Amino acid sequence: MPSSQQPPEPDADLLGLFVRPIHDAGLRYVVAGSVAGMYFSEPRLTIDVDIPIFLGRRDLPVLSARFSEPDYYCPPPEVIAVEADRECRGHFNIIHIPTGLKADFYPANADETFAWAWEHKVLVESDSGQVYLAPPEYVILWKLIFYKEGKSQKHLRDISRILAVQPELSHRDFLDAAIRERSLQAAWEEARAWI
Amino acid sequence: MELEPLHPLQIERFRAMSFREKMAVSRGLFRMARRARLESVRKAHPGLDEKQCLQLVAKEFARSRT
Repeated sequence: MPSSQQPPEPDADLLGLFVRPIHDAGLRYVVAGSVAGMYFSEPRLTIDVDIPIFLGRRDLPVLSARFSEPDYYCPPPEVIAVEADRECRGHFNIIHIPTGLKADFYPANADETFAWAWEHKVLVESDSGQVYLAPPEYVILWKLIFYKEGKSQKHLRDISRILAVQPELSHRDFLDAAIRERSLQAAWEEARAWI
Repeated sequence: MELEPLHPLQIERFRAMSFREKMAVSRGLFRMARRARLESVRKAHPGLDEKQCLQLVAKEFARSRT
């Protein structure tokens, strides 16, 4: 197909598709993972956005309403409720059908690291409007946790890029304590060796 | 795995870039990747119409991890 006949490209804005709807709804969330990592380091390709979130019972219909068919796949409210009730590590996906872009939601109602991240969140401007980002120490901490569990080296790469672009962390005490408590020293040393 | 270090000019630039600029670069990378996959799918599946090719690419991205 000649380029002049290319179909219109769908909106590929992760923040507009997934984050602004929950921001506008007043939900308690932070953007973490590689999208937040970009703010603190370099731009890179990503097709998903990680969103730790506090979800109360009355928030569940909000998700169903904001992420509705035919544009989105969103799990049924009862499935989300089960994930939100987990003591730790709840998880569900919402997918934007036309693009395949995805949001990984991590209900974190009982997670003290999320409470800390919410307290230290960073409000930034995007093309879609204002969004809350997690602070870099929280992004690094969870990348260390995921690396320890799954050994995906993309996490070490992202951490090393954050440390290369922004070597001064203003809440280093939080990160150091969390690394000790969760026995992440080896992963942390590996990440620092990549710089 | 070896990671190529950032050039000091890159570090300087990334420190100066706004979040909007970085997300615009990321969206551009997504569009480039999507176009490349779409072209590949069209060639691999000549019997599919354009809507089916777009759906196939979207499914690929939904299954991918970045």
